[in-house]
Amino acid sequence: MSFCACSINEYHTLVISPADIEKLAVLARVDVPKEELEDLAKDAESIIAYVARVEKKVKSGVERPSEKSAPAPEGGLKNVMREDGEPTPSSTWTEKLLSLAPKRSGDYISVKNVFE
Amino acid sequence: MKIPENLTIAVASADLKNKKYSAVELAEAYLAVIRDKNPGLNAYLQVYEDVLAQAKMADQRLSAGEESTLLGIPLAIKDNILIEGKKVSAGSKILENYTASYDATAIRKLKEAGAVFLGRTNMDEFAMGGSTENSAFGVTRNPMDESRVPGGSSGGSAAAVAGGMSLGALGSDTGGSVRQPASFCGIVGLKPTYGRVSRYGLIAMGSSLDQIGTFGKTVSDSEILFEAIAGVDSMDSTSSGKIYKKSVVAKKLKIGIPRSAWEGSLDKSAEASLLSAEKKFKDLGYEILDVDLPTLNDALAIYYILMPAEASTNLARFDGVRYGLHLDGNSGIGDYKKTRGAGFGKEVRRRILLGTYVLSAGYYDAYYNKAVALRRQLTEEFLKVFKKVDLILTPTSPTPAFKIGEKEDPLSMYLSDVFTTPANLSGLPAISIPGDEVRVDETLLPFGIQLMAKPFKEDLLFHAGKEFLGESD
Repeated sequence: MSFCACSINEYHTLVISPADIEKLAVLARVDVPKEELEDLAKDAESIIAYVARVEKKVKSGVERPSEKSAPAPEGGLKNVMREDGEPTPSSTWTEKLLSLAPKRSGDYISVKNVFE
Repeated sequence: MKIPENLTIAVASADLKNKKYSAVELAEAYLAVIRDKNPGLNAYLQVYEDVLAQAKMADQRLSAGEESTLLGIPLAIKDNILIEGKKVSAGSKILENYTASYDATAIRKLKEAGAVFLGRTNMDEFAMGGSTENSAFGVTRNPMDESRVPGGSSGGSAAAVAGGMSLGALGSDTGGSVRQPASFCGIVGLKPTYGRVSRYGLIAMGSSLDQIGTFGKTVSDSEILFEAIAGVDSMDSTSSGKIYKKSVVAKKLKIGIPRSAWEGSLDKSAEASLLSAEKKFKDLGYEILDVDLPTLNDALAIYYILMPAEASTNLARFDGVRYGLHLDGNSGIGDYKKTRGAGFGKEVRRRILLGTYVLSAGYYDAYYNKAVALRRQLTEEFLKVFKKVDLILTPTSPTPAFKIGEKEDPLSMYLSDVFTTPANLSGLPAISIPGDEVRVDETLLPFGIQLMAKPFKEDLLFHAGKEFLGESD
């Protein structure tokens, strides 16, 4: 999904408006109270202005780094794979996990209809 | 019994073995201190009802002749580490009534070692903060000065140990959340190498940064706890198979100070404490060198791009469907929005929005990818410096503990992570040990100094830390 509501120019002055925060809130699936929008926009703007120094530091044309970019301390990180097999016997965890669900019906977690 | 002054894990362990007192008596003594002090400090969110039953089990194992340093030792656990059957809330309303369905690996190991869990400790919600002021369940007060914060996010664990309400504690450290509160409360806080301790059962914030860490009154106590929880785990594929081995440090170590990174900008209390630490290490025979880490100054900016990105992704799982709080909206998606809006506090919402912003299509290249590239550069610089020196010394935090309510805007709070975030970005082990106290408004406050080492060289941190504090090895 493209999100380009905020404007950023080559001098890195950027403006984040309360309306931008509302759009981000929709993307992030989180309700934000109306009275917080102004504050959050102001905070986000000063935080982004601070972190934008990474932009200046890295010259343009930096490619998306490969997995090499993860911190690789000595003896470092590798992809860890295993063969399929030894499945957990069915229903081992069913009751334990379902008991945590806010709404359930029988052995299902219950949610609202997607289609009416 | 009355808890002997300056009791440590090492001493209590010997006392238990020699039957000076029982694990039940020790646990009862700590419960009494908690009853007395916790209402004022709010370090514990919950004291477990089965503490004495746990201690009784430990006594049985002790009587049977079992030998384990942690057998019967009372510990406090941060509220984001899972203990099966116990509530765990990560300091958030969204998990207020959540009960853990399994043990974190670190907990399983401590149970096997026979530790007694006293309760779960307060924290900034989802470990987001440096003061515990972001907890949904009230602020924790610093036992050294109750008008001040204990630091955070593991402020409850630090206050529990510093306030004599526990012998040791577990916390988690994503950007300094163990080291900074240890500094503020005058105790020892360790963040192990990334991958050294399994993250299985730690409620995730930034998965490439998170690491469970330890609090103790001494370096030796931190080491005991560290050795108990370290090790590879099939449930965390980022855990490392490297075995922890204590090396015999025969030569005098070299310490690098990246002074050029903060030249002139250091708070004068931090400056004084650092200078004094430098002198002490020199007197102990350490060689001190200036080292250059050109990207160090950008670590905080890199961190505050990557951490919100990872946090917003990790926190997507809290949807009110499978566990935790549920509020009804007018549709399925409406349920998510309402649940998350009401369940997450303001700082958590802020970081989720920031993370969503830096990961959105228009900004991914501008921020996220560049931060990832710079992170690699920083790590390369560190590894290069570690060819010349064994340890790097910095202050743990820019200032000692600040007043409750003092830091109102989020950026000024974020800036207190400036010295701690680099170790998380580069996966390095780092320890905060109490340096010289500093005087602020007529009050003497603890102040920590930080040592960082090459990945998997925790033993060097313990060695230098013990020498610094005059502990025997």
